[in-house]
Amino acid sequence: MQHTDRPIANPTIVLREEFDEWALLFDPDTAEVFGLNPVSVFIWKKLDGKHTADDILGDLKKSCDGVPDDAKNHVEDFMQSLVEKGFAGYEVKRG
Amino acid sequence: MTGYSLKLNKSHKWHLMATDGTEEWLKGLASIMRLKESAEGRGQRLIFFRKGRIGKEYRRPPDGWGIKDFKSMRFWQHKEAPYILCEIDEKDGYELDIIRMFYALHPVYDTIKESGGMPLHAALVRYKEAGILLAGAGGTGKSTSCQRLPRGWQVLCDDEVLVVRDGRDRYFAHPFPTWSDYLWRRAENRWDVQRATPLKALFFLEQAKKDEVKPLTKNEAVSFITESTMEVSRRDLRYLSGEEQRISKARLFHNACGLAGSMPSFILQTTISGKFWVLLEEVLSKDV
Repeated sequence: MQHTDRPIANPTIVLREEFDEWALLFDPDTAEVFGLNPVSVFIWKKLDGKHTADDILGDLKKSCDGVPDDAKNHVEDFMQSLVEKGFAGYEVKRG
Repeated sequence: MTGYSLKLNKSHKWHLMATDGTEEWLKGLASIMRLKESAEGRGQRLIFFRKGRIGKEYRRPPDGWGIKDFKSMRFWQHKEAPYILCEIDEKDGYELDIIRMFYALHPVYDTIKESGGMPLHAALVRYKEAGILLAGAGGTGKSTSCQRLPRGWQVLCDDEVLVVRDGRDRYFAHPFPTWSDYLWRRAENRWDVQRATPLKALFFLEQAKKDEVKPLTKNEAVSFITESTMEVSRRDLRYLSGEEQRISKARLFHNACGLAGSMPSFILQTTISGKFWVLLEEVLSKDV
């Protein structure tokens, strides 16, 4: 089964932006709390099924200074960790 | 009809009422929680019935009641009814009676949650009018730490605390019963659950080789507070539907964020013989 390369945030996951520029994700099924730094928050908000990792990296470079050369690996690793936790997923390709 | 009043903070009031067949059971609950008998007063009415004995006069309107089933106890609620009906099964026994007592408080917890509060798996101790929580899972040393506190400290409970938020975003801690004491050891302790102590700081216990206090960031505190409230809340949540559980847990998470933002939280590392309370007194002396 093939899926798209544009991940979608799990709609049951709660995002709370509260303290400084950090945020928290909360999974109401497992009661797990997951901390996000400001860059992770930026990425999380792009998980709408319309952005690939490259798209997100491009937007990140437009918004932030000093994005390191190996940022793509970090973005992909972070997105994969969210998928593994069940915080995000991929839509299955039709046909 | 025998009744007892329960007040948590000035804005949260309940009137617990027994009908035929539930008087002795409710009297037991009221005794454990040090509730006084009173004529019907203000507040949400919780009316307790034996199974099948809810009179038609209470089921008005006849349709549209929401039911929460806790196996040996059921709650009937209707948006147009000024009370909650609590139906208890006929089968009795000491352990069942105790289990029903903590489930009977489900409507109380619900109301407190809706206003930003939550139950926590913690001891409540008091030092010069300041309340602090010593939180931790079973075996982390809550009870032992409480037993070691010297004169000047007051232990109000050592297992469960209900944190209530008032209309001015202040938090008050209420000592709640250690139900396991009744279930496993048939204890006869009593808890003055209506006694409110202003909450000043949260400490999450860890056993260590050295007594130490480490401040938590707000985000870290949310994680610890959420874990603590889930430890208590799970016993009720498991009887709810999947969607009801998600909504309730999300509410508790948001409340944990509110609490973490309002007061300092720390890791408290303790040893078997160290004077950890000196560290607590230092934290409190800094006008937290």
